[in-house]
Amino acid sequence: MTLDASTPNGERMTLNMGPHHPATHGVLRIVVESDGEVVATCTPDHGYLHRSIEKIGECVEWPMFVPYTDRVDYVCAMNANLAYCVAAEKLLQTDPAATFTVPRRAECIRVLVAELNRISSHLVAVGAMAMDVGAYTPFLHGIAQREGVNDIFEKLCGQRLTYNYVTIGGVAFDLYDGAIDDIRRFLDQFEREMVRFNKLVTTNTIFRDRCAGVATVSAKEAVAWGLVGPNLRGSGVDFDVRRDEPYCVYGELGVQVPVGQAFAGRKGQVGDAYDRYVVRLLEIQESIRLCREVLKLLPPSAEKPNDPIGGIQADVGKLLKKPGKGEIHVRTEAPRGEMGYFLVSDGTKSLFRVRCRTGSFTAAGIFHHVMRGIFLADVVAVIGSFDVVVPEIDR
Amino acid sequence: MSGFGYAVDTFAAWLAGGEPGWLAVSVAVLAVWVLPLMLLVFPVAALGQILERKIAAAIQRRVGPNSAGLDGPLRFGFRLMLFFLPRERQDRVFKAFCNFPPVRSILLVSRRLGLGQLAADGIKMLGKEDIVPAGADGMVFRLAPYLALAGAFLPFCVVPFGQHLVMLETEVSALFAVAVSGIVVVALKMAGWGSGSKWSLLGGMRAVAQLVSYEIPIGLAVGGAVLWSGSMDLHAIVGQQYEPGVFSLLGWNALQTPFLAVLMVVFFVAGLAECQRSPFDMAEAESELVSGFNTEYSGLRWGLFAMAEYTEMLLVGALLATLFLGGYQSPIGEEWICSLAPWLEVPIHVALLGAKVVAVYLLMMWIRWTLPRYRVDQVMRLAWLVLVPLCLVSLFGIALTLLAAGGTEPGEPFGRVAARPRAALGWLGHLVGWAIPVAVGAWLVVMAKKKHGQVHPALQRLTGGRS
Amino acid sequence: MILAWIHDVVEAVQSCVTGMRTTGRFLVENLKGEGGGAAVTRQYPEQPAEVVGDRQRGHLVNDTKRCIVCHACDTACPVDCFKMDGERDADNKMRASRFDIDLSKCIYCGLCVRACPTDSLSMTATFEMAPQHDGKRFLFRRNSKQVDVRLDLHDVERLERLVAMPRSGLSDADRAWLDERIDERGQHLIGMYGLGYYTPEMKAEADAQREAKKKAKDAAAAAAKAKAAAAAAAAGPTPARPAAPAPPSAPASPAPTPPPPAPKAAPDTTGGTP
Repeated sequence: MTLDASTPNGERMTLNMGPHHPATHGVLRIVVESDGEVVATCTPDHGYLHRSIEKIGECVEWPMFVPYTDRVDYVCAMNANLAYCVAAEKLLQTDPAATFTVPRRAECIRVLVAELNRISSHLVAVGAMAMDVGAYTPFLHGIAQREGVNDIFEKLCGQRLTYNYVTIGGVAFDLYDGAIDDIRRFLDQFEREMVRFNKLVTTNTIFRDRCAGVATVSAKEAVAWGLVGPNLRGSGVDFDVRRDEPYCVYGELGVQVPVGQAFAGRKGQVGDAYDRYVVRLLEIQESIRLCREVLKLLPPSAEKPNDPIGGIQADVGKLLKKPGKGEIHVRTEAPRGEMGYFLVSDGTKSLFRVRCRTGSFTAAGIFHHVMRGIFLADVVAVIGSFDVVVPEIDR
Repeated sequence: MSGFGYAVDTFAAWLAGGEPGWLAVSVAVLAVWVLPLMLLVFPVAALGQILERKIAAAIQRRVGPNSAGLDGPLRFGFRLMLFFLPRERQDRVFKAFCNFPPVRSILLVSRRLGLGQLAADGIKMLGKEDIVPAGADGMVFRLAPYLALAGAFLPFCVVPFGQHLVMLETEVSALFAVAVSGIVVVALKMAGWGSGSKWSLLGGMRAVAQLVSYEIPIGLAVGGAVLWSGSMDLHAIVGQQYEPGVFSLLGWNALQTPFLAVLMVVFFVAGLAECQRSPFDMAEAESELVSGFNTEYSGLRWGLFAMAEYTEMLLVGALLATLFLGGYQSPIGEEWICSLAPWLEVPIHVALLGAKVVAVYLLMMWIRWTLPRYRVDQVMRLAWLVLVPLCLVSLFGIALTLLAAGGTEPGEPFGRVAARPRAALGWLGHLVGWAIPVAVGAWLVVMAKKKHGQVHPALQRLTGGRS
Repeated sequence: MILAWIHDVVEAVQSCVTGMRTTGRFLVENLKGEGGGAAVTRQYPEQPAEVVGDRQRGHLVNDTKRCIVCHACDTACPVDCFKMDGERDADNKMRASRFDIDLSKCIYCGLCVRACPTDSLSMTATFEMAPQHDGKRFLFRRNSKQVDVRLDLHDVERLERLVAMPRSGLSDADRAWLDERIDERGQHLIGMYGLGYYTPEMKAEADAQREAKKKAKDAAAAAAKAKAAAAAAAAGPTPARPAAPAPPSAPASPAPTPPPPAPKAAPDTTGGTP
């Protein structure tokens, strides 16, 4: 659906959405030129949340950067931790002197926390999108469910938002006593609650009609614009780093990848806002399944923390003191799509270059392309459907 | 002559001490009509805000206002009453009064319900700075909230609250109600234009487009009830819904034909749109337009807009009840109420109408916290492509039914006669009148489901179904 | 087309009714207080915050009895929030003469705790670090699982008991003990400066020392600068008038720049012997 925004006398109104606007999810500024209700051009303006995180990464030592990755994307800090740590490990392993392997238990725990965090992150995404189109209740329910994940994480690592849990070579703590029961219980009740959530908003025709056919991104465009993660899969491209370039123990789990299939029926198209939204919900279901699967794989805890099976932390301390030279780019699948870290080591204690590739950045890049000829009211829905988290754009 | 007209004339004559002049009549009108009406409507509208917050909280896993009770206002009252005592003595009396068990429990309940929020919010609004933005058109900006409130409040003049309780008697009160509530359109447009803000402007434009469009289905829905009753007088419409016996429920318009029931739903939906309630709250749409037409308002003026919204909700409820749900009449027999003394009859009738209004009110709140918001084009599409056709079909159906019943004739305003079409149709006619449209409708629905009812298996799985 | 229209209308009504049934159930569950719709709000100030798990990463504290001033935490800290000095005690063991944690910098990442070889650093469950004022004094909130890090439990109890008593009813020893911990504004000095506090005299002494050191450094810098300026002036060919006015930080002015006041919000955790 694209509308013609050309006026006879070319008169347009410039609207500043943001940086402080109820629907821009942080300090994102969008300059909208509109012809009444119809958007003519839309220019996202970034940088209000820039904190030079990449530069900081070049000034601190390798493990010190992990807490900063929490802040790159605070909605899914576990995945952000994991992305950096996996990249750092791969870079360390390019050194022939490196002999460590990340203990299997640690790898399983990593997948577990990453999937739990994916659930909580997607909950925020779908709830916020529902709120953007005017339904307030689902957001509150999503946030309330997210507290369940936060409680588990708080027991696990002591924090509710910036976890700093995954370390280079493992994880910081072993699972606490009763963690598995907690997680199972949470998943069971969460699955039940999600059904109600979907009845309330996903299948609601008002919600569906608001999103169907809006900001359609074809598969070709999605690839061309570098969309990643659920936004890419929403356009029908069947790609998931967890399945196609597995890290940790994802290779053994058989990740099922949901893709957009014009879920809105005859009113929608493949790759519209509704598809992106539904793909997130299907990913939540898949994450629930993966959590249960990985709990089956989890080996019992060992006495020694660096035990290759039951341990939680490989010995990397010496390597980190004197790492080898090299560079690497490793990508992992975060809730907002591929989170890739490009690391260059010059053999000193701190990295020579840290570069973080995030999903929100490319998603924000396509805004001006898809937000042409849509209604002003759709702008917020589209921002919600791409699930941008502003600190991830700005770093 | 209704009780109110008589009361006004008597009071005015007493004021003037003879033939009343215009001043005496105005004062009398204010004292006898407007003041009681305001005292009736505004507190309920204000309470509605608390109620709405409580309902929203309950739906959203929250608690809602639960701390501000009536203690504060009560203490203030004690201070005023016992001004001659020193402060400690005042407090001691106050404390003793509060510890009196029934009072204590009332205070506790009020605190849990957050009733004190009423006073707190009011005082807060009064205390806030009254800002007129630099780019605003001051006059228009200042006037808009009052107009909005007036537009929402005025139609109450023709709503019959009881058998002889209608404030303004006209032959065309249904038309009057619809027409006068149109003032709100002007008010919202003024607010949107006068604020000198782009968000407000967009909100105002949306409001006008929406309100003007939804006047049509509202008018047609009212027209259906008018057609059935043969009168444009709301009081007559209520009187026509009178049914002798215990089952007076059966006299209500909504139960006469399925077409009137459909019109009731249409009226409700269009009424939601008229009071800018979700899912039609495009004009203030927080997530899109910050706050729409009232973005730039603060303090009391903003409060007036909020008041207007809630008053208008009450109005929609009152009109809905009057047109389709028997107005002030009880569902279980009407004679026993009318045989009571006037001082008992009047409050019962007002309370019955109030109960129906509050039911509609609650339904509106429930809807607000459930549904997402329509988009501009969808709102228009709903009005013109769904509601108006539904209205037209229903009007056609009503006309057919009336033809079968041999026409209608105007009911007496206070006549209390079972209206002609109902009497002419008889129970068999009613049965047939329900059976045919329902059967046809059901058949169409089944056909439509068969043709278009497929749901994507993934969505079925998400909602707990087996795929 | 008509069928599609009918289907749209029916579907809209159906989905709205489904949604309202769902929210209606939420409402009922909320009123009953059980099930998926029950309120999750915590009435925070009245109802203390729930602390789950025993790995809380709250207020960072250092047990100075165990600290060996190895600087491992300092090295691991990504934000440089530690300032520490060490000295050898009678047994020739290192111990902290000063251990400041700048809690306004700390990001509670826990890397220092993982790095600490003697487990002297630990993160407690305390996260409510803003004191409350009850009209007379600042109080720190604690709940059952939280540890008050500024005092040990015995001290807290004593403090609370003494503060609650009328001042005239205190014994001399108690009054002196209390005075030591309350500054003139009525705040608990202990609360401001963390575990292992300075007594007021010790703090004054430490501040004076630090200031003296800084002054000496500033004076040296100023002297060097003046010397350089003088050399430049001497080398300059025109003795009539220096191109720029003389720097104000000439040795003649006694206090070149006042030392920046110690950050108030930063509780210095100091391991000294009281």
